[in-house]
Amino acid sequence: MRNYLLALSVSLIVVISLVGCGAEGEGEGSSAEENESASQVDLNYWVPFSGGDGEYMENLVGQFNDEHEDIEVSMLNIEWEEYYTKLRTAMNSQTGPDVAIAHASRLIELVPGGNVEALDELAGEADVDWSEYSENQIDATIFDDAHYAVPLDAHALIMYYNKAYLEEAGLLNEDGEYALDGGIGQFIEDLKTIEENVADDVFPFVSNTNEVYPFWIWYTMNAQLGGSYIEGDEAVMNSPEGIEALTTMKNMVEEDLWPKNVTNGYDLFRSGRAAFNFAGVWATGNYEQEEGLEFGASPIPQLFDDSKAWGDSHTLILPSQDSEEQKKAALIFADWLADNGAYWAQAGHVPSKPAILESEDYLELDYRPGYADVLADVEYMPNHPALGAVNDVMIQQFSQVLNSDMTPEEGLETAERNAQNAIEQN
Amino acid sequence: MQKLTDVEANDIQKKEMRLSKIKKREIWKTNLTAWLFLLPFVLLYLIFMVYPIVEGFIISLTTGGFGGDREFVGLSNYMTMLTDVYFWEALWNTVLFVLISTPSIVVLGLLMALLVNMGLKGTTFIRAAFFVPYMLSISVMASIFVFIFQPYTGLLNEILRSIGLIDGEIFWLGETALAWMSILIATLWWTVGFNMVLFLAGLQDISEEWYEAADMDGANAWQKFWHITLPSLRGVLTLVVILQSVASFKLFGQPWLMTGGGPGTSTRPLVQYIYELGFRNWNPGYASAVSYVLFLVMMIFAFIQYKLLIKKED
Repeated sequence: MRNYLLALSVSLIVVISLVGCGAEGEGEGSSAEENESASQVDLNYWVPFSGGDGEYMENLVGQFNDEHEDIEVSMLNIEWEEYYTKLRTAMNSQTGPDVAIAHASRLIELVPGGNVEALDELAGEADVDWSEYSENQIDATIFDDAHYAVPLDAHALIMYYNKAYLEEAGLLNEDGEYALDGGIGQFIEDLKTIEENVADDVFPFVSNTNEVYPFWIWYTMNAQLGGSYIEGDEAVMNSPEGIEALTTMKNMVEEDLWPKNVTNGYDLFRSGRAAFNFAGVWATGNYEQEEGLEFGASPIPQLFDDSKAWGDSHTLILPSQDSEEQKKAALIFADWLADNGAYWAQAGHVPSKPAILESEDYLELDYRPGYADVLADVEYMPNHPALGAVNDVMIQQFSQVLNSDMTPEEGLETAERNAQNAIEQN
Repeated sequence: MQKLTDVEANDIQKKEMRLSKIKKREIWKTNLTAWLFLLPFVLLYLIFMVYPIVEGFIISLTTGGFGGDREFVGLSNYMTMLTDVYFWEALWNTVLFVLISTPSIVVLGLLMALLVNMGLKGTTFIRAAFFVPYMLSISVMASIFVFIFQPYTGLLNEILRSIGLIDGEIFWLGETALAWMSILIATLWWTVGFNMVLFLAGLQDISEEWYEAADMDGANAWQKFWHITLPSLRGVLTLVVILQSVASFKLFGQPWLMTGGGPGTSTRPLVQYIYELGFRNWNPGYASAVSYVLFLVMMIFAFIQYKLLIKKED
């Protein structure tokens, strides 16, 4: 009998202490919060800023925390490639952050699940005035007549060039800038001029040939050629335009103008190993930090029929949560970020409030004021719930075309077939 | 007399019955005590192991995203797999890795254990050096090897260039065969220390007397290894081979972090494909079905190995 009692009590203790672990932890946390300050709100904030813009956001969060005693934001910066996987999974299991960055193009995947808060009622409480935001950006955040996100910025793929190397090759005009006149043919000629006239360890052109960059570059060229991507529920990228865009890229690699198997394009350009680089506007701040790197930045030149570029916009969403206080605090934070767009612009992004674009703080920045014009040329990605999955297919195929023997025709044929599957499975 | 005996017999019988009852109760009591001690583990095991296994099978028979409604589709996910080239590619990649990594890790682990067991000078240092990589997390390990193998700025190409062995770039992570080799080298460096420790424990269990006896008989080093060391290690060998092939079947982190499964999908193992299907393409039904196939393949593989290796011992 004694044994029996002993065993029962031991196992009960074990079970209770195991169950207790979780509950106790939470209890302690909330009581500690209460003690600290009666009304402090803690916000978990997730961002995908792995491209050099993360530290600007970190500074902004620090400044916000200093200015708001009652709100404490803690930021988690997640690798771009992993971001939506983590965010969607967490939101689905109700363990998501209180406020998170989402690209405007991904809202259509996130909102319909019912896991994102509608913001209209809250906006009144948090003094958010939608009319302060740029209209076309706000339009992209409205679903069924309700606001679901706060626009933070817009961004696009642009061209960077190393002025020293272009000078050496005689490619700069009298203003000390590079202006392409003559489309893709001339651009390839200029790359060859670099190859012949500049040191051997300098690549004429560099961008990642893996991950997402080839897709952004292809998307830009395809748009310049007038090609399409997804129409309704049809994947239509395997078109003459799509093939021409991918062939152009493949030729650059084959002619040794663009090195293979690159995964650190930013570093190569930043450390002076390349003359030209296509990257997002957000690399500007990163490149500026490199002493001795003198670079120019301009829209992607018109290589084909139209001046177009890949672009998207960052917004802030509130994953579903219960506490009204949290929601209100999150919205105050989101609106504050947009108000401080001039600092965020130092990373390279274009702020979402037109008033900021006209502010002195913004206009006196290098390069950035010109970026606002790039947005007029942005060809936004089609609104489709399977967009993320379709883009993943492209990323996979394009890196194979650029880095292996696969031809652009084969690559795009497979890509379109797999994309169609992804659309149908969605 | 007769009656008495009857009573007596009855008594004895009753006593026996009581005894056996007591015995039964005792057994039951001991069992209950045991079960109560096991209860916490059994509960956790049921909740976190058995339930997901069953639920995973049910999910593999359905279609639909996470959270939403699931529609029962029978074996259609399993049928899809038959014609899915990416599934077959990933399965082959995984099997290929098992086939190349298991023997290399077992042989290298054994060699390292023999070296450490020779009692040379500095053995303590060597033993620690062999084991330390095992304590690193996979992300640290992968970062180190990306830094070594990456093109243009990587350490290895830089060294090869500086001593004049190569002129341009070798794409250690960018060409399929080299990428597999890089993944294998990283895995070896990372995990071989653990297997070395297992072998070392086995080696230290072998009685010195046998070697002495062999010396008396004039056996050379090779003969001692072949006829004493290896047969004595059979138990450890079985363990290491099975553990290692199970671990290799679960390959995911190394290619995910070093090559991203590339170039293209040529180093993508089955577990990565499952992860992508489930959490990137949002297709848990199909992902579960592929998981079940992996489970089955691993079971068959482990069973065959066990039978083969145990049989030898008999």
